[in-house]
Amino acid sequence: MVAEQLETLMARYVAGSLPAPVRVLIATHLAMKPESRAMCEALESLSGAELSDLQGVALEDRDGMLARILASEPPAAVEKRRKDRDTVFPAPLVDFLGFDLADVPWKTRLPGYKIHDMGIIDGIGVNLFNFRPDRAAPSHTHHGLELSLVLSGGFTDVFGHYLPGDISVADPDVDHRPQADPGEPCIGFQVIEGPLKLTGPLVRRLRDLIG
Amino acid sequence: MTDRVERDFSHLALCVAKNRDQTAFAEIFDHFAPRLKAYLLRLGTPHLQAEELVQEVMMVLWHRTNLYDPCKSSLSTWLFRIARNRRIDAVRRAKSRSTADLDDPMILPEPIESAQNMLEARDRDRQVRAAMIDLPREQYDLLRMAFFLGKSHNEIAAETGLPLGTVKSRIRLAFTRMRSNLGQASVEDV
Repeated sequence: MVAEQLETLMARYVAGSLPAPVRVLIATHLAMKPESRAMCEALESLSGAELSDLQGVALEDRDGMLARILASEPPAAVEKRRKDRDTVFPAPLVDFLGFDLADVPWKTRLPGYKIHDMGIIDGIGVNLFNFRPDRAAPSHTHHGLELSLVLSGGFTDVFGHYLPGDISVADPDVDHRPQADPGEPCIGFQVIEGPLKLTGPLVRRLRDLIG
Repeated sequence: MTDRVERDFSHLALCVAKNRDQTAFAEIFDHFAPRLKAYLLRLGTPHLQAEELVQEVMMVLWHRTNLYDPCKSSLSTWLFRIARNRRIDAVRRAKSRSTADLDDPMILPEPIESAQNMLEARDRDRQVRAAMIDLPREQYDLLRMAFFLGKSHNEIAAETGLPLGTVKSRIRLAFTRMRSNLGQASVEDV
């Protein structure tokens, strides 16, 4: 069930149709999990084939566009590839946050439970969480799907045991009561479909990550 | 598209990279630019913006052909990734009103890996596509709506008129097939 939902998220990641925070969550997962990267690359390969199989739509001004491209100045070479940087959090997450683990402005919610709440981005609730070893998450309900990516440490809930790179998928009607593993704090990145009351096709899509 | 055609485009891309061959570039342009436009329109991109994005993607190809490795992926897959990332970035830019940066890591696919991985990568590309050919059409079509058009289960059900449960089970079967094919690939590599 969870694998199925993750695969659909991966497919929508490949298509580029996920809201920004969910895209970052999947990109970070991919940076940590080679086997998911293989699936993702396979889907991209199929997308390339689909692109080639499309019936083309004529350009407004084929000659003009071609001439503009050939006459364009090459962009100045800028070396800022992700791989060059050495960070604790995977690069896609650092790019999104604008900072690394050392600079997370944690706020204590409850003893042994800190979060950095980023509010609603692209219609999605976004936060970093940090549980002391063995700490159980406070009981909570959410209106939409909740995705939690483990960055370090681990946690257990009724569905399983999640280690760095793993994503827990919690439906709104599920009381999963996660508990951090012993030994080290459990730090993770979480996105929650917001309890938005808006209507319209865009908002509907945002609230419809997997369907 | 056949393997033969893919190879020809890879060869043309090498000519562009090595010799700044404008004729070779025009041949790639005439094949892919109208298809990229069709792809962007299908995703609901407004016409004018679709044309702009096509130009930007082809401009990346013209100036950064040296970053394309024909052994790592087919040219169509490389261009697909650039188009997808450009489309996402265009939305982001529209929000922040900043200008495009062709070297932004968001736009360019990951750079070339070591030569040892090259043959494996191209084999995988071919293997994945071949493996999907014998997937039942009814499964592949729904899977395609997810990975190529970015639809959720609900949206796919609404568009096809199929019950949600049918959509989910067909997509699950398609993924199971893919996983097992990928698994086989890694076993054979050993």
